[in-house]
Amino acid sequence: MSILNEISELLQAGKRKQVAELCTQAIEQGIPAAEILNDGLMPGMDVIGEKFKEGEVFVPQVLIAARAMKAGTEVLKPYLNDSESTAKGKLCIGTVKGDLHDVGKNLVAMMMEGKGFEVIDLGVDVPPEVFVQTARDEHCDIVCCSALLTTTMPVMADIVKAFEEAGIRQDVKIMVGGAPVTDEFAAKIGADAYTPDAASAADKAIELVSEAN
Amino acid sequence: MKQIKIQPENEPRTLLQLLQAQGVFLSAACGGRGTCGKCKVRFAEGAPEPSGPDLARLSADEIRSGWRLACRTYITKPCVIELDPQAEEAIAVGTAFRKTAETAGSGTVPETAVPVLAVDIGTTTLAAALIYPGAQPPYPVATSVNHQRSFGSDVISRIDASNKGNREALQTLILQDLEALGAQLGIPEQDIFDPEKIRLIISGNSTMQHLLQGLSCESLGVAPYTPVDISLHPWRNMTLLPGISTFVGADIVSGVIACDMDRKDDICLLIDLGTNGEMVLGNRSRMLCASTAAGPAFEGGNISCGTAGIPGAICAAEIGAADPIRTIGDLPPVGICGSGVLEVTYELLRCGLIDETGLLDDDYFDEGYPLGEGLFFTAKDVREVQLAKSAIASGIQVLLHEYGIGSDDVSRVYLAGGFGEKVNIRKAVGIGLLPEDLADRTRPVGNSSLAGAVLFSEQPDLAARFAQAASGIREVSLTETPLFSELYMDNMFFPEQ
Repeated sequence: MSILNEISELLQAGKRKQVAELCTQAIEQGIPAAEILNDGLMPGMDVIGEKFKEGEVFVPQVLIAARAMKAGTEVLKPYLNDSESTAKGKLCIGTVKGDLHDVGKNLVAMMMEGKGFEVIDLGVDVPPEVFVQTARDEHCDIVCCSALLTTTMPVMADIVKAFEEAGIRQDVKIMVGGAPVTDEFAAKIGADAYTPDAASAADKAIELVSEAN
Repeated sequence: MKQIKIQPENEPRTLLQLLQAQGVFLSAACGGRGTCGKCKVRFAEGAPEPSGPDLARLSADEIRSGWRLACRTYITKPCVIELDPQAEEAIAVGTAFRKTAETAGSGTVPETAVPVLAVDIGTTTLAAALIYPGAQPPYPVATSVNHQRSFGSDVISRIDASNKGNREALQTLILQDLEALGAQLGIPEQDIFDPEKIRLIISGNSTMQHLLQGLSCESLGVAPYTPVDISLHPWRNMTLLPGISTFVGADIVSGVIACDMDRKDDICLLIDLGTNGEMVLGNRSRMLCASTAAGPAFEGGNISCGTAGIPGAICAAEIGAADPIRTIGDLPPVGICGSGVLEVTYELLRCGLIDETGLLDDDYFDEGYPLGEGLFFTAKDVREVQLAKSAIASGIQVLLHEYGIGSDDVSRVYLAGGFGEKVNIRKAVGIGLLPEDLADRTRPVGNSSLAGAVLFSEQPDLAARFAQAASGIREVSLTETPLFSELYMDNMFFPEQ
């Protein structure tokens, strides 16, 4: 097995220390950092994402794989020059105002990082204006909003409106998700996409940024 | 089978909304979002074109024979629908409760007072006990489904419905349910809200108490989840027992009093396993509480063949036994209720058909594990159980940590509620829902919310204890506790068998 395959396998198993060690070894062997990232770490996270979508692995396994990925990218960071480390895109993500649930939101953030996005995590109880300001200041391509409660879901409509009022609606794609959210709801409030799970969200995000380019 | 003629209206309303307005009960667990499929009705005449959710939730056969989801169907022409006699009317409700040694036998009611109806208003069901002056226990009891269920099965969907203009409709439904409970116990309809004739003692969660009084639920559904009034107070001919917060209500305070936790030196743990798992830990000098969003798996919700505890619901399982499943009333299986969900999970784990990560065996991965005619326990169902049991287990661990004790220091665990009554404790420990070292100190206490209301009815001087418990128990916010998030991940795995 090539060292890159091995990195992918270990990442899938969530072996954080070994992933970091092998990344160091790969660097020492002269493999470019970008190649280790693109052909070792990211494919490993893709497999986990796929398996998660199919129900073969569950939330905690995604979490430990994401931690292993992070350990690997920490090693690679000094070796990635700016052009190589240019992310797939930039996004901000948060649980909407009035809602404190963050498990689903964190999962999406991990999947997005796994796909190579630069992720700004705004946390929970995030008011619409913070989404708008972050998207504007940080030049985000995508804004991801999460809600677990039927009672906080309407805030997502306020977020879409806030982007319209700020005059930057066409500059971002707005993705919505969370247990009570449906396709129908996303369409009704004028969001760009809804996905039922975190792995599909990451796939959809890739689709949205490639459409935009 | 009951047939109802429906006429189109000018304002566009879904069939579910229309039936709700006419007071026709239809279960809609998801609150009318088109995702649970429970509100399906058959059109005998004039079936409209199927909607997207119809096609997603119903089989081609069902669509052909006129089944539609009431929550997604708009009536544009006259039609006739058929309604099943509602199986949910027969949801099993616990009225039994065990009093602890200290409080048992104190059932002496003041001779002068009017009769008292002690009521537990649950999100799913109601239970009441009628206490005449001078009477001795056991008192006559009555139970009913909470007919607000047509607005959704959990408190959040009720709050949402109230906020969307159904505040009065929800209040009317619960007042009717109280009337009907009274009628079951021989109280004439015109007397039930007459202070000269009877007094009602109301226990229940904070949302149910708000809906009963017609209070605004606007602030209940968004952080910081502030209640309007959960103090101990009179309303009409009722006394509302006090709650601690929006998510830890009078039903839990009643449980604390019924279990005498506020008078014991020993540290006890009270757990109510529902969509919101509530728990209280402590003794007479200090108590902490928490609520955790466990989801409805242990009430049969979000489970593909899940159902409430109705006749025919699978409630117990043992793979490999002569009778691998047991149903409520020993009827042919129609679905799986909360205790069944737990038992099937445990059995699959015991037989090695689920591994510790929750992965269902290859042979059953696609279709699910068969439980009976057309009934399966799917890979996704196992995931729902993992989320639910982890939320409870992690909540318990955080409370112990915040209290600064280990599970060894807990002398008793009380399991409240209908699920607690039916749960097999060994199996609950086996899936990691309850801590292993507390198994032999754990016991069900039945409907401790009703028990608290009954105690209050017998001894009005308990008011001070109720009020003190409600104000003295400190709530730990789990979502704001980093330790909870960590444990929540770890506890999603199953213990090794």
